[in-house]
Amino acid sequence: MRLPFFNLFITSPFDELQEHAEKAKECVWAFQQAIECFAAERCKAFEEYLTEVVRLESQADSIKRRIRGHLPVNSRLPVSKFQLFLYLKEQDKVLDSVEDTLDWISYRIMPGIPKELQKDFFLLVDSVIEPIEDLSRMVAEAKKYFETYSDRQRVIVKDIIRNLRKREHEADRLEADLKKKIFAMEDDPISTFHLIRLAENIGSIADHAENAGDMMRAMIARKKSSIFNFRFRE
Amino acid sequence: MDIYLFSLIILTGLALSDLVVGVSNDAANFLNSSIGSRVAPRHIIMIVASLGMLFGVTFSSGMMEVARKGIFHPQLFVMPELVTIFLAVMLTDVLLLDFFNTFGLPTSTTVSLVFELLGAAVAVSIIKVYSSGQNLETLLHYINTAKVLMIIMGILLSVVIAFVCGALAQFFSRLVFTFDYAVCLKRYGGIWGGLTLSVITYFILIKGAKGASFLSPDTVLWITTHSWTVLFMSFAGFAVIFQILTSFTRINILKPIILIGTFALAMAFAANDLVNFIGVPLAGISAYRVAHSTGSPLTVTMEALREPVQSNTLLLLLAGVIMVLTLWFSKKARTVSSTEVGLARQDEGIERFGASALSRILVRMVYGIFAIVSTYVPRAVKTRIAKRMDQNAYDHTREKYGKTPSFDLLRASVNLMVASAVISLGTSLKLPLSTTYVTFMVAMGTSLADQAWGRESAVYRVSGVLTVIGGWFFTAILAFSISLLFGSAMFIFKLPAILLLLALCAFLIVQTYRYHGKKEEESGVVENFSLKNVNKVEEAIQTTFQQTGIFLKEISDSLGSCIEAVFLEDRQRLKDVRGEGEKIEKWSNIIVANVFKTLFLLNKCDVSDAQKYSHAIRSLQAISEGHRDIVLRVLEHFDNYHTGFNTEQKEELRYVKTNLNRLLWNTSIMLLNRKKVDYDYIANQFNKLKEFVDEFDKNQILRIQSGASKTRLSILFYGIMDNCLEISEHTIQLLNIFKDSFSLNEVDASTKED
Repeated sequence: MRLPFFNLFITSPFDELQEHAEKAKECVWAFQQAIECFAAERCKAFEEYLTEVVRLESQADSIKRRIRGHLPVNSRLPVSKFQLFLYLKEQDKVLDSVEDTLDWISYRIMPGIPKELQKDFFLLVDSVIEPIEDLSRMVAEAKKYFETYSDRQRVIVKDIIRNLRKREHEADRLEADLKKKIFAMEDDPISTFHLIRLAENIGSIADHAENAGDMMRAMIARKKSSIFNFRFRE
Repeated sequence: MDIYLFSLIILTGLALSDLVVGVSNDAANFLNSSIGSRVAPRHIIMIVASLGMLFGVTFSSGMMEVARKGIFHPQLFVMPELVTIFLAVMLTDVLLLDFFNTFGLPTSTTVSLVFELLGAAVAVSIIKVYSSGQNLETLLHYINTAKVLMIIMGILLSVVIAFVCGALAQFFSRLVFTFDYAVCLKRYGGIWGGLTLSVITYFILIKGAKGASFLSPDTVLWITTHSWTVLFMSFAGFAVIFQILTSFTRINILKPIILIGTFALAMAFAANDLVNFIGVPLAGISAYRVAHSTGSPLTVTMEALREPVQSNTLLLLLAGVIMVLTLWFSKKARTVSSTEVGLARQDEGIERFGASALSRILVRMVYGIFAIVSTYVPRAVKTRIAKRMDQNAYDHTREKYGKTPSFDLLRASVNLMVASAVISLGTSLKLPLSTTYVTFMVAMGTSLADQAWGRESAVYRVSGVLTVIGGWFFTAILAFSISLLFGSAMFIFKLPAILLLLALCAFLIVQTYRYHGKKEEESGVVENFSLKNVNKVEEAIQTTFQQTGIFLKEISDSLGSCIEAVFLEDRQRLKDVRGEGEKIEKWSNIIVANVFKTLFLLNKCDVSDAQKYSHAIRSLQAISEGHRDIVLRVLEHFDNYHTGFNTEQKEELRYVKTNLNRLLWNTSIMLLNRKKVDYDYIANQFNKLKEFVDEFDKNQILRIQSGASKTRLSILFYGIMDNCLEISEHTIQLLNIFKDSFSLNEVDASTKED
């Protein structure tokens, strides 16, 4: 049974989850600028953006460790610890993927992105940054849901999750189109491999955001009371 | 266990709760002057008040008559009826006082108790009269109507007498001492100290120590019959002491006066009001004991309650300890105190209460009367008064113990002196004055005389005072009706009703606890937003930037929620966003006020630097207005049940929302972290947004031409788009200002290094 009264005595881990999600959101501008910088072959500032992302990723890691290490043992959490940690893991992977993508670029900074592929890459980046931005809002709304257990609030969270899925599908489609175009260009194999892997890395950001959304969906699922699960026949 | 014993256990629990809620409300009465003037660090003030309360508890005289026989005639009731009445009273009292504490409104615990007793007694009496087939006129035999009328008179008398006395005393004191009182205090300190402390001492003797065991009845009688002798002797003694202190030492004599005054009021409170909280449960216990000492406990009438009962000193001390703990730890007590102190504050600033039609009328009327009166006062007198009352001598920026005082020590000492004098006079004349009403109205009167309610704040302050006074009448009405309802339910349905009402009480307290916590959090943010205690330019600029960052983040979140709610046509969520919008507007006003303060601090700096901040004001206001416009437009649209956006429009709005949010969010992060601005990125977002809006505007024209979008929907669509664009433009402007300031700081730093 869910008793709002007991919420008074519970320390919510959602504040820290949101702090973690906001670190991911903070990365967005550096990530987007880094890709644009890489594409424009004027990558003097690339290192700066990479450093910024690494810095934020390391801050997010500290928050992750804090959540894992300081979750009270006996506190009555609104969700199971197992679910919470799984969610955190997926949210963290979003940031890891952003960092991995920039790391991948840094291994072969020249010759950048061919002109004919730039627009597609930008579109792909655009489609993955929206889910990153939505994560913090999702956590904030979920926190409100766990305070009130109102159906209206649940609908809001579900709506954000639905949007995450939609953006992931869009990112998948853009990634697939982009890969086709890269292969069609018949460039040198190293460049092709580098660009294909880059597109996959970027696409994986949306995948992890969607996974995080799915974890959240499981957390906000209505728990059926065991009294109604009774069956006369096995 | 029988139901009455169970009820007594509940009564005991309720007594503890009532002590907590009661002290939370009454603490403002004795803390107001010392906290408002910052006479000492907070912990010193609390220690003095705690000592006063503990002394008061030991001096407490017997049980309050009103609980046992003041309102009804106990000889006409039997034990079960009395226990029902007391339970209803205590439940109502806890709920009512907690409600007032939550909203930070001071009220009289005596008035609430009296009307609760009246309500519950009327409920039980009506049922008794009705079931015994008697005429309803016999109800008057059960109730002490004269006492009730006296209490109502008390409210009106307190309001008028205390306010007028406070205003007059403060006016003449200020005329003598002026706002720069240090010089005059050297000259007249002895007289002032003698006057204030003789009144306060008399008050201690009359109100606090009258029930003390070390004062025999003869001594008390002598004090009451020789008031003038006592007053004159203490005046002479204190005057000599204070004149020596002020002439030969550097002691500020106002400080000991205020602390002694605080001690005196705290002592009087504990000695007299303590019984408001535990008197009723103790009366219940004595009724139970009396009934069980007879052969027929359920039918014997309660004549025994008419006899005086001596209270248990240990019990009173325990109650005193609970009161002291509450005083130190209750957040609600601080909320109530802050209402009083805020309304009496000398400075302008953020006002807690909004203006009302009545307050506007009153302020206009009073200003009109003053204008007329002023024409009959000779010019020389007016000039002389204006010179003595010149507020410029008041030091608005002087910080004491980490915070700026709300008023000076002179006003605090007048508050305590007048409150003590009025209460002592009222008590000796047997007038039913309430301590809460007197202390509050004196504080308001003195602030009026001190011109604290200038044209910039008068309507808000008057509105606040009217709210508090309205609350006093509301206390009486609510106390009577709720208690009547509870009493009837418990008397008819017995145990089920008691359990149900207890559950309701617990639920409501938890709700008010949460509500208060939320409000505290909000006011904490507002407090943090205020630059009240910042006096350095660089710190002020930095804080303003940080606040602007938080403000933009909030706008970004709120707009995100608003547009999401538009997609779902969720009216309730839109209403929530409108509620948040009010908070955002408040923040915007505070930041604007802070920018003014920054401008004030920058008065010796370059004018062009200062000009940047005036541009910032314009941008902040435009962002806030744009946000409000979007929220109100969409709310009105969906309130009127107009059609929502189609899929294409939703997708376009989503694009705009995402880009605007990104722009706001990144700007906010940059302002908050004060890190080097990646201006290009933000500018790119802005250009992208502009392109999107242009494209979507064209799409909308096509939709209008094809009839796919109705007129109202099109107006709403354009309204949202335009406002989003305007918000982003002004955000870019803010960023420009920040960027300039950032480079300016860098230059400053490099210059310093050179």
